[in-house]
Amino acid sequence: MTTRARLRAALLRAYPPSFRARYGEELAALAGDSDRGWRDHLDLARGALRAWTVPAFGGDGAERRRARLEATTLTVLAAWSASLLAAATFSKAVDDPPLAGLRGATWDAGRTATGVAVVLGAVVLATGFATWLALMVPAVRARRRDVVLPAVAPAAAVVLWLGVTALVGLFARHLPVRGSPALTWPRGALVLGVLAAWAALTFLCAAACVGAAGLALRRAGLSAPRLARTTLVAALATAGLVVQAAAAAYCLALLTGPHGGLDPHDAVLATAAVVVLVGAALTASVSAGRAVRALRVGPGDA
Amino acid sequence: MPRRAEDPRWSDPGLLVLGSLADGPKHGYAMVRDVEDTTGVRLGPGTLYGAIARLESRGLIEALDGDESRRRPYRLTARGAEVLATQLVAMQRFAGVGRRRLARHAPAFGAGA
Repeated sequence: MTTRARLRAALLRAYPPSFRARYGEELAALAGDSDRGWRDHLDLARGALRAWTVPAFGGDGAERRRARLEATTLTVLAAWSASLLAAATFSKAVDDPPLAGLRGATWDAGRTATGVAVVLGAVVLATGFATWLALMVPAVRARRRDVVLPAVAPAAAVVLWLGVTALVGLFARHLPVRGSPALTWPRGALVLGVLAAWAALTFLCAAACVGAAGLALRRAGLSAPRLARTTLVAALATAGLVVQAAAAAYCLALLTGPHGGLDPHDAVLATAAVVVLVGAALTASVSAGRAVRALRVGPGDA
Repeated sequence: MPRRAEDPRWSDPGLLVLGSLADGPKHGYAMVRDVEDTTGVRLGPGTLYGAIARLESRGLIEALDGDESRRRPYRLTARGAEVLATQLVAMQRFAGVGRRRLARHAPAFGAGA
């Protein structure tokens, strides 16, 4: 296989599972017949991005509805996973070590916001696992290795990512700080290389998680009523994600305000975590809204 | 005059696909060739199948059973034909008005050009 063909195959795999199931073979055949090189590759990449962000589903009403509900379940699972990591990062940034000297109204409000975030985090965690279990339990009972393996693959990818991230963290702690030439050649190149490799691994792990979960969901072929129930659980998890993100953002605003006292380095980490939490909540909300609409209009008009 | 990338465009891929299917069912590759022959616009594979997915989800086109899944033909639905006709009438009206105005204010590019 040539490099160009490999790149084309990778871009075709980047499309959402429902899109590939419906149009994958035709799209691959047309892309193979075309000879416009990088312009086709760019076009495929744009098409994949759009297929994820503004999904459209073909087939009859029931098929479209199924694809919509599967896409939402997958999107909420991905948002849920990202939120788990972001919530842990946020907690580490604002609460480890505990802030000293924070008292009065700011402290009370911060504690309330943190309490709300923790309780909702538990609810979101439970509902997310419920969605995952809805997929896993029937698959384990039926000994469907083709479903179980891709369903547990994201957990392995997250463990790998956490391990590498811990190593990168150790590496970062031993970097020379202020006043020393940390970013000069060749040490600077090594630092940038490690960070770039970590960023690439993060992206690959995230893509592998979403891809494997999508594969498991599609192979599981959940019945329509079970898929509808899974979607409602995903909508509940989404509501939790939204309030959790709002509570974390409120907490961050307090802690970085005039009476906050959050260390600037921790503030950067906490802000990044809140950005991920808000992004995940928004993404899940849009997708859940579309799924709820598909459930309301029924299979004929989804 | 050659068209430049930043010029305003009328070539919405969905509309081009509807126009291509107006004279009968076609598969993806035939649509690309037809659109290129009639309008000069070359639809990339991602753009074409994105448009097909959107049109199919809105019930404007439908897939037919093809001989092979790699070349599935599509055809206009009644609703798709209605939407295309409405768009073409609007475009025709816009083109007529534009050409008459050009004929008055820039005769070299107007109705007779």
